[in-house]
Amino acid sequence: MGLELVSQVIGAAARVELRGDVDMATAPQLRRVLDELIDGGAAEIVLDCRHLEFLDSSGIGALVAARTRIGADGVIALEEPRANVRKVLEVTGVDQELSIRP
Amino acid sequence: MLRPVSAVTLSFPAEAEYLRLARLAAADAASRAGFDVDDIDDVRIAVSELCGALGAVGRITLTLDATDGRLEVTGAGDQPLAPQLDGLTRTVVRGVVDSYDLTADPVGAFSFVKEARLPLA
Repeated sequence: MGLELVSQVIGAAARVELRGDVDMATAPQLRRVLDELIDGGAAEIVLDCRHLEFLDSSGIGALVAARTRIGADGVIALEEPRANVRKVLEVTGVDQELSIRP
Repeated sequence: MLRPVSAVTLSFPAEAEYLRLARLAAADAASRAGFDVDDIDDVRIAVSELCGALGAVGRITLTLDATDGRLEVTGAGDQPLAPQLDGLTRTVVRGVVDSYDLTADPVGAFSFVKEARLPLA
């Protein structure tokens, strides 16, 4: 299993469900989806991480790039990341730049 | 008391698609060492990041030597290329293992030892 991404867009709000692993192999897939949503006018992107099993520095890079692209008024939020995902967010300090819920 | 086990060696193409296989093997070895879930996750992360740093050409040989509360991990490519760690990768690896070594001669390689943070039950 690699990474499955399912997106829903309502107006300027987007929700993306992540299933599987975000690593060097799949981070470009995440980056592409986030770019498309931001280019399409999304101002708030919520990433449902309940089924995200692994995140590495490649995924962090994709999230940071999206955070930069969406701008200061935009929101990138991660919902219910697992402990291992949360740890990578914390050691890189990215948890301070993104909204982690809860 | 866990019984010491022999080292496991895994050889796979140095391509990103195989990092998941490396993580699975690492998680299994960490479990055999008696690590808790947090330590197992740390090993998975370190192995994935360091194998990825060995480049995308040739093959990688990953060796996992688990004993009670201790896991010794080595990884080597088959070319004399220095492992490439960008800033994010370095930060992540430092966040999950106390220390690690990288070498480029005669081939790109890494090694680290992880010990259980909590005493084994």
